[in-house]
Amino acid sequence: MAGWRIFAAAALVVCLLAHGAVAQAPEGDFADTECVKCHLEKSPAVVEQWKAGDHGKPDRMVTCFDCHGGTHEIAAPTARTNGACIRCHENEGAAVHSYRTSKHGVIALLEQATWDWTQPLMEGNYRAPTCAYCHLHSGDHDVGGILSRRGAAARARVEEVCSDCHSPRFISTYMATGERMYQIGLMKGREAEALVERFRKADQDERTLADMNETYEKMKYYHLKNLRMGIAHQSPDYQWWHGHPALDGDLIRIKSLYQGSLK
Amino acid sequence: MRSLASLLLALLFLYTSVAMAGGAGKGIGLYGGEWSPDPMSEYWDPKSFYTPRADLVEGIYRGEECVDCHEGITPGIVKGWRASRHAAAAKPVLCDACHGADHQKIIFPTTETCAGCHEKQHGEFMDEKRYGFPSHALAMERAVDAKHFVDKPKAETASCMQCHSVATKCDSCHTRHLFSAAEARRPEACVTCHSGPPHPDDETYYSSAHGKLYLAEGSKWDWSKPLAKGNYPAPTCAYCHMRGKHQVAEKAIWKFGLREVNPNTSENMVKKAKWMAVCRDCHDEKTSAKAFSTLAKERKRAWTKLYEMEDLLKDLRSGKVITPAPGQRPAYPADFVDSIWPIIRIGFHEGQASAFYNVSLIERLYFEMWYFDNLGAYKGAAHGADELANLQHQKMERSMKRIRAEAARLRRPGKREPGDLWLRGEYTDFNRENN
Repeated sequence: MAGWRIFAAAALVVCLLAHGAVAQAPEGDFADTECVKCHLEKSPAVVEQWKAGDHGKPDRMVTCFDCHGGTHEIAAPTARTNGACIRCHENEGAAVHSYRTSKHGVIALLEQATWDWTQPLMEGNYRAPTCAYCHLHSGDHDVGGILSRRGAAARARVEEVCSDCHSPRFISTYMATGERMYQIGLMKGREAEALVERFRKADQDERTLADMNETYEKMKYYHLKNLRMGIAHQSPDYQWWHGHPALDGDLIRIKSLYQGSLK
Repeated sequence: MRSLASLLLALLFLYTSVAMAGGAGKGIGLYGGEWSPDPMSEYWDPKSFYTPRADLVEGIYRGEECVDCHEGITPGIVKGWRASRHAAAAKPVLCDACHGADHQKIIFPTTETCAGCHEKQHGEFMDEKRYGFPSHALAMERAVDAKHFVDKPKAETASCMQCHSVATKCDSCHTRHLFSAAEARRPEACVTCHSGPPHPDDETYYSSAHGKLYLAEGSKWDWSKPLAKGNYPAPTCAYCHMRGKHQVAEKAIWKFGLREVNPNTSENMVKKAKWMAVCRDCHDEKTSAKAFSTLAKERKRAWTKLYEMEDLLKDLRSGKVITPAPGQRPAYPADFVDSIWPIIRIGFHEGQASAFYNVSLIERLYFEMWYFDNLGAYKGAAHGADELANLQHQKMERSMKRIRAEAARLRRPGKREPGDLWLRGEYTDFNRENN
């Protein structure tokens, strides 16, 4: 019985080879478990990267189907488009809008209809990067993971991705300035934090302290994030109007709250 | 008496030269001696800051050789170039035409580089300077001569230079290395800079009737057509602002909404006639005149509100109740007079545009009303987004409420001294020492 099965399988392979169909993807709608089961054999690295990345975490799992859709033939091109990412990330505001108004985002938006999306996300196959071009460069499925972390590995990856189009000198200069620009933002944050602490230690009234804290949180979670996104996505508007001058305003508000409750 | 005057003059001169020498210098513009450029400046204003550095590659190359090599090194830019008219021309415009042939002395193209071939466009662009602010051609001067630009750390103001580089490079609108006219005709080409609180051109245009039509069908229009009557079913930014000429300044009337403008001066009537000619590509004269008067009325409404608040602030200033008072906060940025005789700046004509940090809450609140709410209202009215204009006016009213409440608080007896709150702090100290 087993021998027959092996024969049938071998015959199938021979037929498929003869018709040039082996390289082609299987048709049909698949359940998520099926994708993973098959790709654990076909491309185990991709599955491992996905598991290690933010999308593979059990508490907020984004499945193959979510980005790639159900049609196997166009699974890769589908996930390469910005639409695949923006569908879920739209509500995050700064992350999407900073990219959309950047030159990268504008070029992608205007030219996407004419691009060949069957090309892999590497070696300047696209005139401007899409979300996936940077965050899943060369098909690395550790989505956003490495680019969102800080440190040498992340830096090396950014340099590699940017150098598909930009010179090493431009990349290192831009990154160094971006880092300093962000550090200045953090200074504003720390100046505010020190004031909140000073106020707390002086045992000033609770309501003002709560108001000061609220403004400080706004700095940390919104305006500093805007700045970071502006730098990472090359959006001058997020670096500046949604970033630095907004932080300046927060700092004034915190100082004014402090002063107002002085006896 | 005369000797006292000359002594004072000599002291003033001495102080100025010391103050000038205080910064490391090598910046550009009116205060170039007081600030040092951030390294990124060479990319945003190559003419002023770029210096070729000897790099790894030596030799003189023909354009074809550049393409061959860069196809492997930076394939993305070669892809852009291959799709360009530069590549498709009978005699292709190759890399060396703009960047030079010597790899050790690579040239960073400026507007003048492009002018070598595109003389007409460059001439019209430079002609903007005749009309003063606002214009693209004057944008870099406008940035570096702003006092807050001089005063703030240069890694922070590196964000300013990106948009203001529209004066120094052509790829702000025609991105490299495709350099497409069609791209610059589409509104998206403008929104990288024309978005955000002081100039929500994107939101206001997209929510106008013109913008809605563009969003619905723009992707199907033939963008290779020039910006001329009958070529587009609805206007884009460039259609109205640049139709007929490669510049945005000759019709500019309202000064961005930053100060009150009399639209009926003879100069502005000429500009208005030019606007109406653009509108008449699609609309009758009555309709375009009505749009114009709606905008004029909106501006009146906005300035009534703004002046009311300016008067309130000036009243507080004369009453000396604004705290932190001058002296209790860092001096007005990069201002010599302010360092010896500090004053509070209220409104456009006193330079409040540079006083949005290290100031009292009430000044900041007015800045936000003037710079964000009011400018947004202007953009809404100018772009035919009436709902957004009204929304911005509601924001102005909310700001007025906040300003009045803060004024009442400042007037309350029992003055609360700010102590060192505005004078010390990690950023405040860093800002003072780094420009």
